[in-house]
Amino acid sequence: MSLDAPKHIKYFQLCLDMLPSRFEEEDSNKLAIVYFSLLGLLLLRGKQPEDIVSTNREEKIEWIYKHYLPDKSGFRGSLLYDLQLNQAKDNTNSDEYDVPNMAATLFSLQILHMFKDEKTEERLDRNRIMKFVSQCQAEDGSFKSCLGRDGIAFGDSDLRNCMIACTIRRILSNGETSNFQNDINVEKLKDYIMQCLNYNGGLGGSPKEESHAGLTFCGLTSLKLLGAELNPNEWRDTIKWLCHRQIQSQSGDDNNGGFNGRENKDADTCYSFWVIGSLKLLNMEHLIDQERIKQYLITVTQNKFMGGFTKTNEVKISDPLHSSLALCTLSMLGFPGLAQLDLVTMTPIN
Amino acid sequence: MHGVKREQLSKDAKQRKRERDAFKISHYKQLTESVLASKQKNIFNNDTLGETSRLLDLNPEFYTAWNYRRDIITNHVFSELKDSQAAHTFILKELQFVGKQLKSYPKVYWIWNHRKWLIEQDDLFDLKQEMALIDKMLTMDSRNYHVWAYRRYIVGLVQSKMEREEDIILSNMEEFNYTTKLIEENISNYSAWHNRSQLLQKLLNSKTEGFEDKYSFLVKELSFLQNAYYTDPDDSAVWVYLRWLLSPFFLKDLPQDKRNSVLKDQLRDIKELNDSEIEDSGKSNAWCLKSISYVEKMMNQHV
Repeated sequence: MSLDAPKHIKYFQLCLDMLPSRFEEEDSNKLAIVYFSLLGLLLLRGKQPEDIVSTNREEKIEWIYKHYLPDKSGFRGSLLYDLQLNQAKDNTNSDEYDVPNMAATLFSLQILHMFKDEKTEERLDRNRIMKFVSQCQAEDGSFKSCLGRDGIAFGDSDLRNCMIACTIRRILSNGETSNFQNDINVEKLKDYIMQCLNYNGGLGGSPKEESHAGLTFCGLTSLKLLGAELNPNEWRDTIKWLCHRQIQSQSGDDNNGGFNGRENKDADTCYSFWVIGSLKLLNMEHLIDQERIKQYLITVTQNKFMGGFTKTNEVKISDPLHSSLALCTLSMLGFPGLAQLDLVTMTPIN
Repeated sequence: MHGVKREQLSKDAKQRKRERDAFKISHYKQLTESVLASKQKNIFNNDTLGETSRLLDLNPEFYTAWNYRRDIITNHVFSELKDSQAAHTFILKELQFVGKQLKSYPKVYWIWNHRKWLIEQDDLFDLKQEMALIDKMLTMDSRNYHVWAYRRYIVGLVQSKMEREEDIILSNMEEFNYTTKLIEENISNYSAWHNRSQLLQKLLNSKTEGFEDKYSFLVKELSFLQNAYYTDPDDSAVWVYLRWLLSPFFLKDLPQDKRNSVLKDQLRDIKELNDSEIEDSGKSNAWCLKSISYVEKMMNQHV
């Protein structure tokens, strides 16, 4: 059972340099690809990843800042949105369609954090970004993905965007207690998250939705970031539901030992992370069968041919999200040779 | 229908997709530039509407194009229409565009956002048509998270416009019966079980016929459930649901004798099922054992 680290390093490097045309649809999510690839590289620790981060470091950091909007409110998902039409105009007046979105803003902050950029303090307007984030908070306490032209939160609202808001807030507050000019409404958000809790212990994406392991992780992380204790005794049903996500089937079945995200679904690499991450937030990761999940990742979804990890046994091609989340899982389980992960900011600990 | 992929493509569709890709590469960049340039100039007309359609067909995640499209519709299309009927006719066409997109990308949030927005603009929206689309999509993937959320959204929207309590109850009843139908088709469909759990709480609160009395409802629901766990004792969905039916949420309102008889009956039935599992396979069924231990705990506990 071994991890082919050199191959994974090559794979992530390839994702950063060039992607096959198959990924064209992801053009508007380019920063996500960069984030997951960089996270994977840094977890692999060896000499090479550090080189990748340090070579042309300034240039790479500048490239990220190109996504920062002129009005300093947040980041766009891709340079595709930058029209360059308003460059001659007053810098404070950004295009009303060229808007920041929550996910891109978080990915940028995480990338800059991983690059250890020293200039964030002076180059980013943290109060302005938090103003954007707080504007994305909807009436019910949840967060939407961006603002409409009228300045009102627009888009899908669920626990993903709630976690994004909390993580942005954590990274911007830089370890200190948050003192933003415009902060989010914490109590309303906590209420919203608790409304997503179902009778089986899992959380749905929004109230009344079916329990889902990825969204459960988002909910728990948000609570943690908002300063909640997460006492395991108060989350017994959740712990139970999470443990039951590990699939026990006949040996020889590729799903065996892997995790699903909902009842009666097949195993998927990323759910090993969402579930074990959730359990770790509750200090209960010892309850699952750790050997069998390692076995699943290493022997079933590790892509020995091209490096990286695939989503399931049936998918033949790796992608950066599943590849880095597989490494995050292995890191949480203490797999040798991997850097440690800071769960709440989703960046490696040096 | 487990593990339905985000993109489910048959061999033919794959080939077609490859051909489309070739077209995409040559046109995508040009189209993007053109759309972004006209939106910068606030051009709202049929040509720009058509251009956003073509761009969104290529990249449905392009949220700027969706935002622009909404503005074209508000500032150009709607301003030229004379009444709700005309708006309705336009929205129908727009819903077809979105419907076609959902067939290829059933899990893209932005397409669902646009559909919701359209429905909210339409004073004359056609519930039957929306429900037909939802039913069809749930036939394609009975676990699609987005479709279930959209179903609850539409039903909620319709109910918010209902004035009579009886109509709301009737609508919840129809939804409840729909979950029965889906579960009978496939007991492993936990999304249906989940929706059922949401609906029955509403029905119990409204004291609808068949739901007035928690005890008789519980007995009926447990017998429905029993069919399911006898069909596939390894199916976790059913056991998770059983545990909920036997939780204090239901049991706390039952008189002591009825509560005891419900638990005793369940214990007997599950033990019997486990015995037959031992006979068939030589070993106990893990879910039976977990449930037996849970029921025994509830029997010793006063709620």
